[in-house]
Amino acid sequence: MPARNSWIKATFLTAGGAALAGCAGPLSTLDPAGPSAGAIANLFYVMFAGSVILFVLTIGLLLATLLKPGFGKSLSPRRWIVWGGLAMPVVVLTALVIFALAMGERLIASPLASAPERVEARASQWVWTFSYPDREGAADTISVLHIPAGEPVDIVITAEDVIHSFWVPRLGGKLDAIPGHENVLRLLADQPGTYGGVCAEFCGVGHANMDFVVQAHEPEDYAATVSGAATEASQ
Amino acid sequence: MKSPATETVRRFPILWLVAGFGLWSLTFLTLYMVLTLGCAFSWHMTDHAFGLSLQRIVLVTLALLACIANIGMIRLYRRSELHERRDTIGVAADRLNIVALFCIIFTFGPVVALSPCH
Ligand SMILES: [Cu+2]
Repeated sequence: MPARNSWIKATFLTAGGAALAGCAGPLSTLDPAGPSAGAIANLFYVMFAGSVILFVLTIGLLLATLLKPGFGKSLSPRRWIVWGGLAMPVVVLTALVIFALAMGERLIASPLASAPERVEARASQWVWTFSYPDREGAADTISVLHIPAGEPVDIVITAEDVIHSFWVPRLGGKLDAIPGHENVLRLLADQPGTYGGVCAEFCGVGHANMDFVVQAHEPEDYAATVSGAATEASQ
Repeated sequence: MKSPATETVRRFPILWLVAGFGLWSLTFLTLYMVLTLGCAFSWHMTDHAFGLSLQRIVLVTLALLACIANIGMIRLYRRSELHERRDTIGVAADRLNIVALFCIIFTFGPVVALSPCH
């Protein structure tokens, strides 16, 4: 049936294309540009591999029993349940949990020998405002966050009205912006560049458009840009 | 001794089926709540005995209490009439309470080592 074949082909091409297209772009978690996002992408690939292994094993065994009657008779049903239904998933899931916990520990902003640059991110309906307390005289920037590249930056995240969430997928995980509370997210951009960011917690009708960009500069350009923002704002 | 709790369990023996995982859920909620409070009050910054923070001591104690309560529950159940009967629900309740003990150890064991606050 050629008509059906071409449908199948079209479906696979579209799905494959969509899957590959999802790997690039300004908001792709699978195109990491720093160590935190890299750890998260690794976690995804390991989880994905684990699920593929379990899926292939389970479906393989199911197919074997369907296609080859009598398959697996040499093992008693009790053994199948204990080894296949208990031991195997416990081993695979335990390994995945340990890996996930280890990755989670690496993402925590623990104190460093030299304190990283601190930047404040304030969310409000429906805009992000960034300020630079470490840089004297630097004005706030709206919807644009400047950071130095190649060094850790602590983003102090808070909100003015409702709960929002700060997320720069190519640099790290998301962290809630909560009124009256400060959450600290440590980001590091390996290279200078522009990275997309969004609000990742539904916060009202303007939520979908509450995006921002992160501009990572060479450290010396960073200082100039942030003080330049001051002059721009004063004009 | 006839506490209201034992009386309720006598009238609804099926409660034994959910006892272990009920305890698991209660422990989950309690640990989550105490963890959040401890972080808000900076319990993790304190240094009590052996370099342990108040946060760590409280969380580990609660997880241990949950283990002890679960073991007590299993032993109590094994002395009950329902367990004597050895019907499907009776056996299932016994096994489920044991599985719940493993889940309590697996889920809450990491409070021993993981960073308590972000
Ligand atoms: Cu928002």
